[in-house]
Amino acid sequence: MKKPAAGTVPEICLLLAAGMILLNYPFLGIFGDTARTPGLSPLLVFLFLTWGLLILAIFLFVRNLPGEDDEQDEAGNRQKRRRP
Amino acid sequence: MIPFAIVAGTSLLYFGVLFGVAFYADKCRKAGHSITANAYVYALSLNVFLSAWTFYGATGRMATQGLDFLPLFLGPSLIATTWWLLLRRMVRASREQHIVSFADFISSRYGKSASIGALVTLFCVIGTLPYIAIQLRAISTTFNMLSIPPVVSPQHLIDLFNTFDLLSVTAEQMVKVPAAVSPSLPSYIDSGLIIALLLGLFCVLFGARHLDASERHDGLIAAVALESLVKLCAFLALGFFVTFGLFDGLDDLLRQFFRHADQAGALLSLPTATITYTQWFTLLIIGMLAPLCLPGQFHLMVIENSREKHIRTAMWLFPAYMLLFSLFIIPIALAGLVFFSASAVPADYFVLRLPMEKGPPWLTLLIFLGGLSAAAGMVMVTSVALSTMILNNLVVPAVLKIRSGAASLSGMLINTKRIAIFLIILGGYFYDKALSDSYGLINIVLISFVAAVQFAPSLIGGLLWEKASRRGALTGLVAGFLIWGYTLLIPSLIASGWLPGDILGEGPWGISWLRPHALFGLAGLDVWSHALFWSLLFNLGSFLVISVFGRLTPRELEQVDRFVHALSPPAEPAGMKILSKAPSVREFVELMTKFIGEERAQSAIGDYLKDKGIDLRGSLPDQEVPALKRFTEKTLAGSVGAAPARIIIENYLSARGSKMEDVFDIFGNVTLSRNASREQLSVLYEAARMVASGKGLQTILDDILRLLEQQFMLDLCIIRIFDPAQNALVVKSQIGMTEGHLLSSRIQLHEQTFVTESFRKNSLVIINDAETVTNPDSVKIIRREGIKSMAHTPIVIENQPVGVLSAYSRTIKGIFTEEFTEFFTSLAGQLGVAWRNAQQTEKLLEAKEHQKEMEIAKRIQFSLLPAKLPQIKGLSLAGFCEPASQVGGDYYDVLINGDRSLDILIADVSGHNVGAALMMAEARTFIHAQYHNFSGPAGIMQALNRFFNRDLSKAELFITLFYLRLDPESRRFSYASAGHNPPLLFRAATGKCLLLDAEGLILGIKEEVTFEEKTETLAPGDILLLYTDGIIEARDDNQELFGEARLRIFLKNSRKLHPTEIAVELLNTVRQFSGRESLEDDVSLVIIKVEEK
Repeated sequence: MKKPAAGTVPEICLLLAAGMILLNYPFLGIFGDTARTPGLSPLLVFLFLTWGLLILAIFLFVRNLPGEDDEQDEAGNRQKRRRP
Repeated sequence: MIPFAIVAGTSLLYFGVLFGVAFYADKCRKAGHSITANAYVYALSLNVFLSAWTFYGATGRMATQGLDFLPLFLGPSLIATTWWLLLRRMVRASREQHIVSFADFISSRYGKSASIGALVTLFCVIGTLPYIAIQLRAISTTFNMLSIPPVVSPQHLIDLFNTFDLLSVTAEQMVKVPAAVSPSLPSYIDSGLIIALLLGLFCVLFGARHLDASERHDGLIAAVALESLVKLCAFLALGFFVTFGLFDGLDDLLRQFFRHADQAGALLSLPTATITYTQWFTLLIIGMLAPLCLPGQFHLMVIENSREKHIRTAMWLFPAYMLLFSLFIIPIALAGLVFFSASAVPADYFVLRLPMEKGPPWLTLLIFLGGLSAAAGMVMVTSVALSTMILNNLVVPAVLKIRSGAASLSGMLINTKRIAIFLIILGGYFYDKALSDSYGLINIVLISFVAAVQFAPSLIGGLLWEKASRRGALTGLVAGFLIWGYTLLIPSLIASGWLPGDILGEGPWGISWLRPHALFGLAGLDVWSHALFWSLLFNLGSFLVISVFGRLTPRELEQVDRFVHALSPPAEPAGMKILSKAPSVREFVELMTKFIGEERAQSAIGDYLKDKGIDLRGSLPDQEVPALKRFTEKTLAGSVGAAPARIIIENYLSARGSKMEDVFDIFGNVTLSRNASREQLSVLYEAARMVASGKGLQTILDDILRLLEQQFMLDLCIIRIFDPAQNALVVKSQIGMTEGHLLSSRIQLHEQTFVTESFRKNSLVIINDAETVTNPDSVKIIRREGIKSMAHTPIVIENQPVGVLSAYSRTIKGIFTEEFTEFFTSLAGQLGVAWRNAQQTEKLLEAKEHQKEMEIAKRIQFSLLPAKLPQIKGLSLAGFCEPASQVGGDYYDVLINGDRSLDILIADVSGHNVGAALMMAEARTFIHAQYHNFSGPAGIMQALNRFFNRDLSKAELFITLFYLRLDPESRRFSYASAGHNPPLLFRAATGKCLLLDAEGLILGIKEEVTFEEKTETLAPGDILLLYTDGIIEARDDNQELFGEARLRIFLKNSRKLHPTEIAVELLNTVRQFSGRESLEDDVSLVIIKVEEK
C-alpha cells in the first residue's frame, strides 16, 4: 500500500477551502439585495455557477489522480506484483 | 385526483418493478456477473441521500423561507472533495476489519469497544427515526392527496369508467366525480401503514435473506439506483413542464412571480429576516457532515462499495446529480406561489399539486412515483443498516448471556434481523403519527441531520487523529446527544403537544438559562445554529480534552494504525510488546456449551487438544490460543452459521473487556514480538527444515501442504507445477480436493483463471470473497467446491515462475490478510527452493547415468581393437586409435586367413555413442565370422553391406570401410573401399605417394552395392598408411585443414621410421598443427611397412 500521492492532500484542502469561501459570507454578501428586482438574480447565477465550477474542478482533480496498483476491491481482493 | 385503483395499482406495479430489478440483480450476482459493481450505479445509489425532504421539502422550504434549502445541497458537494482521502480511508479500513455497519466502524476504531457500538446503535435509532418518519409521511400524504377514494359498488365503478377517459382526464373532468362515490377510505386502511409494511417486506427479501452481514446486497443497490433515476427524471420532467409549459421560460415565470407574490424579492435574497449568514453557514456544515454520518448513507458509501476506484466517479457525479436536481426547485416553488398563494396548499406539496391542478394525469402519477422513489429508497437502506447494527451490537451480545439449548442459533438471529427491520419502519410510522403536522419536512429532517452530525467528531477524529480515544469518543457522543435531544428533540415533542410548552418559554422549573432554544443564555441564534453550536461544543470539546489528556489502551493503539494509516503501510511497532492473558480452555468450552451443548463442546475440544497433546484441564500455551480460537469458531459455524460464529467469537472476546488485552485475528496474532507472528515464523522454519531434509520432492511437497493446512485451518491446498510438454499447470500435491475438482485440476495456460493469472503475471492473487468473482469458469468451480476465499502465489526459481501455490477456505471469507500474504509468498519461495533442488539432483543423476553409459561404450570399443598385431616376416605393422571423445566410431583390425594372407581393414562409423560402438561391434563380429568365406575384399564388403543395410538405415548411421587382403609372400594385395578416404602408398623406389582409391558406396546407403576391387604389389621400403578422416580433417586456428598433401609430405619424410614411430610422429604432427592436445575427431591409423633388404 502506498501513501496518497504527493500533491493530493493540498489539492483537496484547496478545493474545500475555495468552496467554503466562495459559497459563504462575505462573498455572498457581494450580491446583497440584487435579487429584489424582477429577472434572474445575480446571486442565484453566482451560486449555481460556483457550484458547477466546483464540480468541474472535482472532475478534473479526479481525472488527474494517479492509479493505485494495489487498490483493493470489496472483498479485500488484491493483486500484488511479486517483488524480484 | 386520480382513482384510487390507478394510484394503488401503479404503486404496486412500481414496487413490482423494484422487486423484479432487485431479484434480477441478485440473480446476476449469484451467476457471477454483478450488475451493480459499477461506478455509475454506485454513484447513483448514493443519491438516496436526496429523499422526500428534497423531493417535496426543498420546494416547500424555498416557497416559505427562501434559499436556505441550498446549503443542504451545497454541503454534500463540498464534502465530496474530501472523499478521496476520507471515504477511501473508511472503505479500506472497513474492508480490512470486516466492518459491516456504522456502529461497527466506530466501535472498531476505538478498540472494538462493545459499549461504543451499543451506544452508537441506540443513538442512530433515536436520531434516524424522525428521518424515516418523514419519508412515510410524504408517501402517505401524497397518496391521500392524489387518489380518489374507492367506489362502494361495481355500478359506481362502471359509472366512473364511463365518465372519464382515464388516460387523458383533465382537471375539469376530475371535478365531475359521480356523487355516488364514497367520500373516504375505511378508517382501518392507512396507506402509510401499507406502504410501511411493503417496504419492510422488500427490505427483508433483499436486505435480510442471509445472516452474513458482510455480503453485498446487489438487489437493494440496484433498486436504490433505479429509484434515483426515477426521481431525477420525474423532477426534471416537472421542472420543464412548469418552466416551459405553464410559463414561457424562466424570465416569464420570474416576472409573474414578482407581480403576484408578496415580498417576492426576499425569497431570492441573502440575508433575509429568516435566513442569516450564520444559519446559512450552519446548514452548510450540517449538509457537509450528514452524508458521512447517516447510518444508511454510510452503509451505501462504505459497506456496499465494491471497488475503491468507484469513489472517483462518485466524487463528481454525486454533486452533479444534486445540481441537476436542484435546478428546478426554485422555478417550481415560485410557480406554486403564483398559483397557490391564495389557497391553503402546503408548500411542501407544490411539487404534486402543480401537475394535479395544471398538468396531465400521467405527469402527476410520475411525480408521485418520483416522490415514492425518493422516500422508499432512504427507508429501505436505513432500515437494513439499522437492523444490522441492532443485531450485532445489541442482540447478539445479549444472547451470549443467555444459555440456549437450541441446536442452531442462526435461524433465531436472522429472524431477529428481519423483525428489527419491521420494527424500525413501524417505529418511524408511529413517530410520524405522534409528530405534529405543523413541522415541515425539512425541519424534521434537520433534527435527524443534527443528530447524525454528533458522530462526526468521533468518526472524522478517529480517521485523522491518532490520539482519539474511546473515552473521548464516548463522552463526546453522550454529551452531544444529550444537548441535541434537549435543544431539538424535546422542542419537537413540545410542538406536537407531548410535553408542556412552558419549557420552551421559561425553561424547565423556570430556569431561563436552560431554555432549549437559548441554552446558557445564548439567544439570537436560529434554532439550528443554536443546537449545532452547543451540541458540537460539548461533543467536540469533551472528545478533544479527554483524548488529549487520556491514554490509549493497547487494543486502541493497534486499531489506530488500521484506521488513521489505512492508506499507508503500517509502521512496525518498534519495541512494542503486548502482553496478553489468553482465555483458558475452560472458557472456550463454556462458550461452545452455550450453543452446542456441554457434551458436544467437551468432546470436540477434547479431541482437538488430544491431537495436540494438551491437557483439557490445564492452561493453554499462548501460542495455541489462536488455533483454538479458530477451531472454536469453525465448530460453532457448523451449528449457527459462519457469520454468527464470527460475531459470537469476536463479541465474546471483546466483551471480556478489561480481562483481556489480546488482539486476535483469524491467524491468531497474539503479538508477542515485534514482527511476524510466532506461528507464521515457526511454519516457515519447519518448511525450511523439510526442504533441507533431503527427502524426495513429493514427500517435501506433501509435508509442507499438510503443515499449511493444519496450522491455518485451510480447507484446500494445492501445489501446481508447470509442465511445458502439456503447456499446463499440473497438480503435484494437494490436500482437500474433491474427486470432481481433481479430475478438472489440470489447467491449460491459456485458460483464464486466477491460477493461470498468478502464474502468467508472476503475482500474488487474493480473493477474500469468492462471491465477487465474475469469471464464469471460476464461478463454476467456486460454487461446486463451496469456496469462500482463496489465495494464489507463484512458485518461483530465480524470479521465473515454475508453478503456483493455492490455498482455499470453504468456510470463512476475508482470511487472507496482508500479514498472511507475506508469509504465503515466503512459503512459496521455499517450495521453489525444493523444486530447484530436486531438478538439480535429477540432472546430476542423469549425468552420472550418461557417464556410466560412456564408460561402457568405451570399454566396448576398445575391446574391438586388436590387442596385439601379428608378427609377419618382412613386414612391420602398427595400429593406433585415439577417440576424440570418450567413445569413438573408428575401428581397425588385422586378421590372418587360413592361407596365411592378411586381411587388414580400417573403418569409421558416424556418431560417437554407445549405438555407434555397438554397431561397430556387430560389424566386427560379422567380419570375423565371414571373412574367410570370401575370395576378396569386394565380396566381404558386399556381404557386409547387405547384412548391415537395414540396421544402419534404422539407426541412421553409416560406415566407411577400407579392406585389403595381403599376401605376405608375394606382397601382392587386393583392396576395396566403401567410401573411405583412400590410404596412401609410399613407394620407396620413386619417393612418391600413391592413393589407393577404389569405387564403392558407403555402407548403409543401398542394399546392393558393387565394390571395385584393385590390386597392388608392395616393394621393399614401401609404406602403406591406412587412416581415418580425423587426420586430414584436423584444423588449425585459421580453419585450414591438415589435408592430404601434408600427409604425403609427412609420410615421405618419415620413410626411415618404424611404423610405430611413424604413428606417434604423425599424431604429434597433427596435434601441433591443430594447436590442441585433443583432436576434434577420432583418429585411427594402420601402418604397414615392407622391410628393406
